[in-house]
Amino acid sequence: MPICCFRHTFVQLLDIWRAVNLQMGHISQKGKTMAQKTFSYEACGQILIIHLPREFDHHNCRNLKYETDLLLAENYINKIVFDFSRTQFMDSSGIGILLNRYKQMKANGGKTTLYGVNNQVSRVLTVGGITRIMEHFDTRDEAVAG
Amino acid sequence: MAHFRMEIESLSENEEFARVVTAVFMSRMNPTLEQVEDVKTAVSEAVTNAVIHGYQNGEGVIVLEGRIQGDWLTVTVEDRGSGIRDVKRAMEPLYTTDKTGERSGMGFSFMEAFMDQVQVESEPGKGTIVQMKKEIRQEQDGGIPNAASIPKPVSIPESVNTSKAVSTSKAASTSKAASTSKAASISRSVSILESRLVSACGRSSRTAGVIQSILSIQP
Repeated sequence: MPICCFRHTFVQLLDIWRAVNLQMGHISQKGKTMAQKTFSYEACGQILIIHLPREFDHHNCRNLKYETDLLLAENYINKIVFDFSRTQFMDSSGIGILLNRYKQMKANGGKTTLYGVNNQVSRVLTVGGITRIMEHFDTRDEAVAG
Repeated sequence: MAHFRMEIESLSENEEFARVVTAVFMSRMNPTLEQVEDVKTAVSEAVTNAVIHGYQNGEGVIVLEGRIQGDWLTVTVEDRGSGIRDVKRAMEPLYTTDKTGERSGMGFSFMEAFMDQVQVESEPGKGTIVQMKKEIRQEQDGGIPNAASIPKPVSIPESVNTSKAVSTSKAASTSKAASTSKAASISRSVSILESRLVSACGRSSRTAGVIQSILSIQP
């Protein structure tokens, strides 16, 4: 597995972005608990792993576009891996997020994979047509390598 | 016949609250875990629509109503927001008015895929009523769903779909995961629901009182 060298930059950038938002009042005083409830990012070389929240719905995804756009603009990323291992519920808002990241990566010749889906998520992914365009794996190692 | 009705504020955090309340309400019908998940997904879509499109992320009240008549569960989501000018068009798969591109346009398709009947009434400027029905049959055996119960995928346009060769047969693989015994899945789902309800209550304290009244309804 590649060495995680960009991780530091990622986390720093995200902290700055969240701090700015906190000042602008976009995130309430509950900022700390909200950060745990939403997604987190991890970088392994040129691979960005996005750990999705327990409830992958409209409420928890409001900031994902801005955060990933920022990360993709500042770093060279050729693959996004979505980690569903914590996710218990997902609806069509999640499909929109996945489709957009897929288009973004495809435009630059990159790849998108996912792993760790449960039964509910798997049904939603099937109905949303995601299983036909993204490869899905059982484990993180497979998803990162695949 | 059992019935509940509640008013919630049009806030995105209430999307989770609404679907968890509906799931707890329907648990008395002895549903499979999969049926609970289907209803939760559909309710989430309807409430998300009301928050984003009905009230355009502004203030407003959403009315959530549930009714059990025999084997049929009816869930109604009502808003008094902007309404839909062309309901038929809005229900087309992948139709969206969203400009950021983050919305998939699959909301109504999902409701139709996961419920048995979906009815939409809307008037511009007055609001929208979405009524969804699902049959929860009381089966004597294990309650393993057959292949027909798996919803059909929404078709993705050519511009997005690259791997045309892969057919929709992958759907069949999802059915095997549901082979756990009904009793085990129900007790698991109820315990998950209870903990979820407690955490949802903590977050939207203004609606917490509703829980008491829902849990006290006799079937």
